[in-house]
Amino acid sequence: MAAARADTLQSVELADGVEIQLRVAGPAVRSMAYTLDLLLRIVIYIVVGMVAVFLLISAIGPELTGGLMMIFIFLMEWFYNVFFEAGPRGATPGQRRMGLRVMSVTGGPVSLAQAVMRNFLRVVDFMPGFYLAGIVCMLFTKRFQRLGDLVADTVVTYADPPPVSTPSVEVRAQRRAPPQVLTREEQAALLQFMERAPLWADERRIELATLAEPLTQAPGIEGLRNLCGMALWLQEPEDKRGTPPPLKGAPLFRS
Amino acid sequence: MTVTLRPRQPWEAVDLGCAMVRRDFGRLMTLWASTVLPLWAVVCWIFRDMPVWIPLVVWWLKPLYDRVPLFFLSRAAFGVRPGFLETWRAWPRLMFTNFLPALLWRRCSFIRSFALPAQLLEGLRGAAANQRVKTLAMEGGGSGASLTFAFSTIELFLWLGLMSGTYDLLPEAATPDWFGIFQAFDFENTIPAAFLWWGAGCHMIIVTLIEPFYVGAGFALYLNSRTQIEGWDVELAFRRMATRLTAAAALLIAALFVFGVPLPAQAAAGKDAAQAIQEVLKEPEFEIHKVQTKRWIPEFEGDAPKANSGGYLDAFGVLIQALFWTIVIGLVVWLIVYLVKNRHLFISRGTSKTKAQAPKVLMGMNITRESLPYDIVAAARAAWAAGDVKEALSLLYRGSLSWLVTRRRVPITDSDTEEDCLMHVVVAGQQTEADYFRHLTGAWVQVAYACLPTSDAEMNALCDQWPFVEKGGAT
Repeated sequence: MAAARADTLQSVELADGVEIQLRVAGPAVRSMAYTLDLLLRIVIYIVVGMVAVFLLISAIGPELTGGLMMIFIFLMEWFYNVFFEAGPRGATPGQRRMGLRVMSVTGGPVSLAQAVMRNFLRVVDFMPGFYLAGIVCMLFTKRFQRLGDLVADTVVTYADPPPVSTPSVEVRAQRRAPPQVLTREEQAALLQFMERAPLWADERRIELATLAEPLTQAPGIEGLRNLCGMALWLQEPEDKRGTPPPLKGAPLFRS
Repeated sequence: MTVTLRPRQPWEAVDLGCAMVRRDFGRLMTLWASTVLPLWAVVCWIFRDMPVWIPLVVWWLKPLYDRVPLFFLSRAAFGVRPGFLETWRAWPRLMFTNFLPALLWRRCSFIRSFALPAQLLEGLRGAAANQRVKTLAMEGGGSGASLTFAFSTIELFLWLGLMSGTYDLLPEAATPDWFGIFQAFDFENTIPAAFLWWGAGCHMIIVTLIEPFYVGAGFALYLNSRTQIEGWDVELAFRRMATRLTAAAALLIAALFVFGVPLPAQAAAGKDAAQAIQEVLKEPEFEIHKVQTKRWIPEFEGDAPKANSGGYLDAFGVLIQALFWTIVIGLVVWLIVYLVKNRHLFISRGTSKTKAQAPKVLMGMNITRESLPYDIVAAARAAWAAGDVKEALSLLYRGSLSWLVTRRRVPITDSDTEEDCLMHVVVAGQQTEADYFRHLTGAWVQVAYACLPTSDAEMNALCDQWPFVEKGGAT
């Protein structure tokens, strides 16, 4: 394995030696969020424009209305993103809809200065037209950063934690130590198997357990039982209360 | 496996695809250039008379291009990157597998890149393939459609972006006369061919850039779907574990029989460790940074300039130098003159008082001699007779101030008030003048600020007692 494994998690080492992992978001989902924001802004312009036409023009005259409208559009175009990204949620409405948020590379919320910098540089990212520079830059940087992000040291990440759709069920299997020493990766695979097995059909579970026959030393349902026992042991090597406790996220095991 | 598989949210899976493509973009581009560019050359040759159709045809043939990046990525995911020859050998087969449905009824499928791996890599045909795609699409089919939407939007706008960005660089002959075209409303014949070729070229550049990412994203979405539905990541891990465990068992048996021979596993482990160390050392943390500062020191005594400079240049240099010194000396002289001229600003106050110039304006009134009539008293009487009390007293007051300031050198300054003036006059010590001035000031303040009238008698007295007269003549 010469090349690094491709992954969406990007680890960042902080100043105090702690390593955190960022779930950075790529150009596709970000352009969707941008499209939503753009549509929202257009709707706001139409609504505000109609209010201006029907109420303001008669009250303060067309010139003043036009001027106010232009100031309003200026503020929206330059400060819409800054306002929302520097706010408590760190995301514009469009980004929130797509489950994204803006973060500093250190994992903290963006400061006002960072929000201003990354959004004012949209002008550069927009060049030579329609965000060509920004998207190309995003496609070819590890953390999917456009130029504004690179300057302001920010990333766009997924806001919600990964979905856990595993039902909580009880496992009835004898806890047992694996007969051989397993690598970290293999241990992780065993635990993953036990966590996600309830999502699969019985046949698929047995099929997978059969693949692990060199470890379980038994075919079919017996192998599945052994495999679950080993996974339980990995989760908690010592049986503290005599009987296996019901484990959260453990698979339904019918036999 | 060179890809980290785990159940992901759909958009995250798309990002994984982008990361995979980015990692191998250079290799992908060489394969793309060697397989897709010939095809485009053929397309361009066929449509050489109608370049307006080229972007459409290039777009339509996309399913054919998708196969090469997918072939590469599906093998690269398992750590085997196919080279030139391998790809070229596989190319005809890749191109013609299912190519009719792909170009006809599947062309407008919204989950094109998501379904392609199932159709191309799993080796199923017909109804079985359709069933397989349907099963996989239960988990991730919707995301496949969003993916197609997202990437076609990106592609379209990047195309527009590239065109708008390079439009200004076009030679004038190639840019169409838009006004004339809209007037004639005949788009087909009036847009110059060069412009159409340029548009088609921009389109090809953007397709080259974006299409591999689209294919990679679809492939990653397919992997994610299999991971969620079938636990494919677990399956792969179990297979690897099985291989390792059986190999270990076989080795153990072998070791039991062959003593004294170093185990291949150990040798391999040692080699792995050395390799691992090398890999760790390659990481950015172990990079050795050097800061090198270069300073430019102009060489006044270098030989090169002298070799170049003839007598003419030397004379010029002397001239410039003379000019420089003239300017410097001029500046110094000017500075000295300036300081001498304005020395009162820098020298202490006691001496400056004697040199202080008499103020010309006091309390908003002009008190220069020139601004007053020749015979002040007569003028005041005349104003009085005309009923202008204020003017009359003002003439007297200004006249007396003018006299006191210019002749008696009473040290009155610009900022003094009536009270201050009176004080200065008293301090100056001319008894009659001080008395008169006190009287006049009282009358003037009453008229000017309180609008209280002055009596005829008082006015007469003020006029009669006017003390500011030069000996031997009226002023």
